[in-house]
Amino acid sequence: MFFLGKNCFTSVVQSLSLAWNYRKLLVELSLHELRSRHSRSALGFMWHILSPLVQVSLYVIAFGYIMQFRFAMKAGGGLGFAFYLCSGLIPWLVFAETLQRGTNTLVAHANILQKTSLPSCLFIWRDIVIRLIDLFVGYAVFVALFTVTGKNIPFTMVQVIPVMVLQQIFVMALVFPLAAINIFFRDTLQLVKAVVRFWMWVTPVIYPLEIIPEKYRLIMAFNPMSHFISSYHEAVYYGHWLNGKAWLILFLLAVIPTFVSICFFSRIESECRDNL
Amino acid sequence: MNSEVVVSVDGLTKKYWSYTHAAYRLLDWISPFSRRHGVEREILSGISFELRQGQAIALIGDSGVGKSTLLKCIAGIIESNSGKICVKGIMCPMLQLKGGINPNLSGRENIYYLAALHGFQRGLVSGQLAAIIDFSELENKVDEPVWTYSSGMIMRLAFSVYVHLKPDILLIDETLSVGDARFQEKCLRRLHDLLAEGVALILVSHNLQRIKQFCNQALWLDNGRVKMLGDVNSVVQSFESHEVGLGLTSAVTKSLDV
Repeated sequence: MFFLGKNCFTSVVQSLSLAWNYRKLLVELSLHELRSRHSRSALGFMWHILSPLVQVSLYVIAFGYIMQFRFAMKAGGGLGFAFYLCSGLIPWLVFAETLQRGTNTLVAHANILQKTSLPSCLFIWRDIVIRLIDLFVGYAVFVALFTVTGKNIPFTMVQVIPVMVLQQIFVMALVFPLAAINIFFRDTLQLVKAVVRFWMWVTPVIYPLEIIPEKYRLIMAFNPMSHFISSYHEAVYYGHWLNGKAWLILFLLAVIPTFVSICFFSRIESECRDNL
Repeated sequence: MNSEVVVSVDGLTKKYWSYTHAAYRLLDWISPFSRRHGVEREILSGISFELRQGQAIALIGDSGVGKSTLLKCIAGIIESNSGKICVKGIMCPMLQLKGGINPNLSGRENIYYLAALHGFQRGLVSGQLAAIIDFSELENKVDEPVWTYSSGMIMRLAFSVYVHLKPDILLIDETLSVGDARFQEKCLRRLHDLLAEGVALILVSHNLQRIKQFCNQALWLDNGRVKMLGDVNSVVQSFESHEVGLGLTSAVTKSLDV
């Protein structure tokens, strides 16, 4: 593909070796960010648990009790539906947050990128890593809460760990070009915010894939996030092991876009730096 | 002149792509053809100079001639289009003291953070921590978050970090006015000490008095080209008489520079 540039393989290798060379700094920057993020709030990290909790309660009250959504009833009313919701909504919220923050990250760190020779991708990687940690912690809290209420968490849930990693790699692929374009068009961020809202409703986050009429299922298959979110449901709610095909799809969804986006980004990176 | 060359710049050229609208840039990024919608502007062309250990060079010239761009190219912040830049040793760009400070972290954490942003490992900072805190005169305040600091205190903190990281080359862009007069004096003395220890300096400043005080060489940039390169006194003198020729008396330029 022409817009990848001539040396796309070299640029991917270079980018990976850059990541390896800067690994210590990446860890250090992530730690600084984790420390500074909540330094002026009383509840600190709790907000990462509280805000999904509020959202889940809203959906449970609306669809489980007031509107008596058919699926919600089938899932076992309030708590069962809440369990279904949480397993997909927590990764979705982290996905949305990573995408939105990531799009703005180069602009937000312009003052640093203008003054130091650090590679600009370092800040993108840092954001991906931090949200991955958020996702791990968020999921751990969710599992702990449901274990306390007596819910039996299936062992198949260990599969969510590689799914989370693949999901964040997929987001990274989206973030690289978006963050670069956002330098020139600040509208990109607004656009991303709007698209994310729309995207949530075409992804089976608060409803199961089965209730979508057959003729729309194909559209769902072309939505990468529906594969990720369905995997969480399969692993946690239904307690299934994902088959080889499902893993292959997730893997390709992470790797191919990343390859394309790194090639594209390394072609325009220096121009972005000039214009920050 | 037997000391080692630490920075050598040879035929450096920097061009920017300039577009009337950002959309054209996007179009060029994804188009299979070469750039058709942009204009390539040359900001720097054919810059060459050498800097040895313990020496200081000043970049002078009117605003907008590419002094800061040159400094950024040398620091590796932006890529040059052609020409060679050879740097031996650790370089520390001190381009804007406040840039990179994270107001939510404490002063102590910011010391590590600033160092990390310039690629210095935690271990190296730990060894220098006492000296940095001592030099910044922040004392107990160093454990409080930086958003409670005055701007002078932030400057003091940042300056202390930069001069204690043992760089071999320091790049300074108009950052010499740090805090009150007494602390400023202390900073200048520290820079003199560093020079004596063999640190090389590249200084961008409009303060010609200070340039004469610090530098032994000067490079006069005009429109992205080297107009004059050589001994600081002769270059500054020519620059001043050029300014006089433009209708500014040197007295006026001096008072503007302060």
